[in-house]
Amino acid sequence: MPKDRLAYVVAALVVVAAVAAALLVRDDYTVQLMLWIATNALLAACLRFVLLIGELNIATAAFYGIGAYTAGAATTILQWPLLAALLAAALVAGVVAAIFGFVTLRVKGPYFLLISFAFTEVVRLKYTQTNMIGGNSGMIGIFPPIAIEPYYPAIMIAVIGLVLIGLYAIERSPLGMLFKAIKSNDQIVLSVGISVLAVKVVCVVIASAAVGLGGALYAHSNNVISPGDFGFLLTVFVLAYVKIGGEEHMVGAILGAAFLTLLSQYLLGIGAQERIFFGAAIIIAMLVMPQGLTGLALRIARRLGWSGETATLGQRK
Amino acid sequence: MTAAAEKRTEPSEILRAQGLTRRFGGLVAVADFSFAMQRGEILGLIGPNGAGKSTVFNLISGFIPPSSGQLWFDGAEITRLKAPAISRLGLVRMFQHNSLVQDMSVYDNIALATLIRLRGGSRDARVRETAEMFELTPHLNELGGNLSHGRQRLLAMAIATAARPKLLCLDEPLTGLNSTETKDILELFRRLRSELGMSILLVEHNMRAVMSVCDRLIVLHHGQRLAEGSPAEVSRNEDVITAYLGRRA
Repeated sequence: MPKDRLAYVVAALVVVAAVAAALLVRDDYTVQLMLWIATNALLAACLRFVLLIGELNIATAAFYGIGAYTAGAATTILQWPLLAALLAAALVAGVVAAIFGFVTLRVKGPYFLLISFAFTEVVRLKYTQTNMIGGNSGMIGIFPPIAIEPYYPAIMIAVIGLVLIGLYAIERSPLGMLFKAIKSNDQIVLSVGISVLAVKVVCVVIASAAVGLGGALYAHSNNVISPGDFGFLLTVFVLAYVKIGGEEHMVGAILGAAFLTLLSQYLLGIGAQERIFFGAAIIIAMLVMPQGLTGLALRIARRLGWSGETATLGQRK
Repeated sequence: MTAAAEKRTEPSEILRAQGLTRRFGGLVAVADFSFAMQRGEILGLIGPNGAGKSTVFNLISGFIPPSSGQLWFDGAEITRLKAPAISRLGLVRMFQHNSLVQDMSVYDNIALATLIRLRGGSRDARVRETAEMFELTPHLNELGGNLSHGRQRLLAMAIATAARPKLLCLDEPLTGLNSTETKDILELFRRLRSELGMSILLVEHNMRAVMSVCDRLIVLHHGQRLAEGSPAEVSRNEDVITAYLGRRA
């Protein structure tokens, strides 16, 4: 079986196993832990997705929040069905991202980072000043329909799993190769007739729609959302997941999210020092494993001759 | 084609620049530069370092806008068009530096140029055909950044050629190539013209190569046209000799 197809089969099996676990496990805390890992994995994958074009998008947290608030408003204020709320969340996050990207992606590097930081804080402050969506206190009572509530964790894990597989498929497609080329040398991409701005906007829209959907799922799982959940600090935590897991492969972002989510549960007892731990973890990862856990694993695998193939635009013979 | 364009450019011309000027603050890099290029022509743009050759390349390929002047390509005005739009019309350039994606394979580098033009099997065939032209077939799976300097120049040319442009603009393509490779590439330029109908605009410092392959030369000096003519005429031009070698005491 070709390695690419094998990767999809393995990913599908992992998702099926996770969904089965969410249905079978009776311990609420374990199920909750799985949901945290799933949402954090999606956040990490979406942050990494924009890193493919070389940009650190602090606004990942903002689009997560836009998705959460859109879905929250859709189900609690507009009384929309869950499916419509989820789709609206992805759509609104995607449309806002298209405007945000079209305006901001003309700059890159630290300039884009600063703008995305400012955008995140402006959006967060806007929530606090909008009474219709709860202002500073946030929104409460965001529940999935009673009929599907027992299955909601399994549904959430299944949807996040499918979105992750979708993001991976895009990364392996010609569009994903364009992202990589833009990160490395955007002049070449321009010279062959492709609008770098358009491709970058598409990248941010895809990541934001996905993370917006994640925010919507989170809102219905947590039942309560508040502006403080979607500040820039969330993206800093997500960046730690990506860096410690390794940004070379999407699996790194997922592993990093799982590893740090589990570890942070053990660190709850030390209170505010949890954040010091995250900062220290990023520094240590940068110094000791610049390509994270998966980077280390891939290097070892390549040395052993198990893998050396990178994505390609065409079939090699 | 607009009526204005019809007046300013002839059907036999692939490219025309009229009064092209580019200022960078107080520096005038290209000053009131006009030229026309015929379809199927191999035109050399030469001049000492800092003469404005690369700026002319950036202007005609849409990477920087002119301060004033007009440009027509294949009968259409392109003065205000940006680089991707000009490339899609069929004017594709190669860069002097940083001319490939270092961390992508040779195959993928060449395929980049075919992404918006071809799909599936046709894309694969185009990549392999282009790689064969530039003798890069044995290196298709290597990373672009791992190639020797000479092969990186070949790959940069292959990327531009894979788009099968009407006008191929090459910025110092022969740098780093040995004499055999240079001879082969010059022969390839002639084949690109005869077999694929490409016109080629060449900026190059290798005078022997320029003289042998170009139909016509334009000499730039301080952003202005110093001389124009056949290689033989230009090589005898006193102004050109002075610009390149300095005035005799």
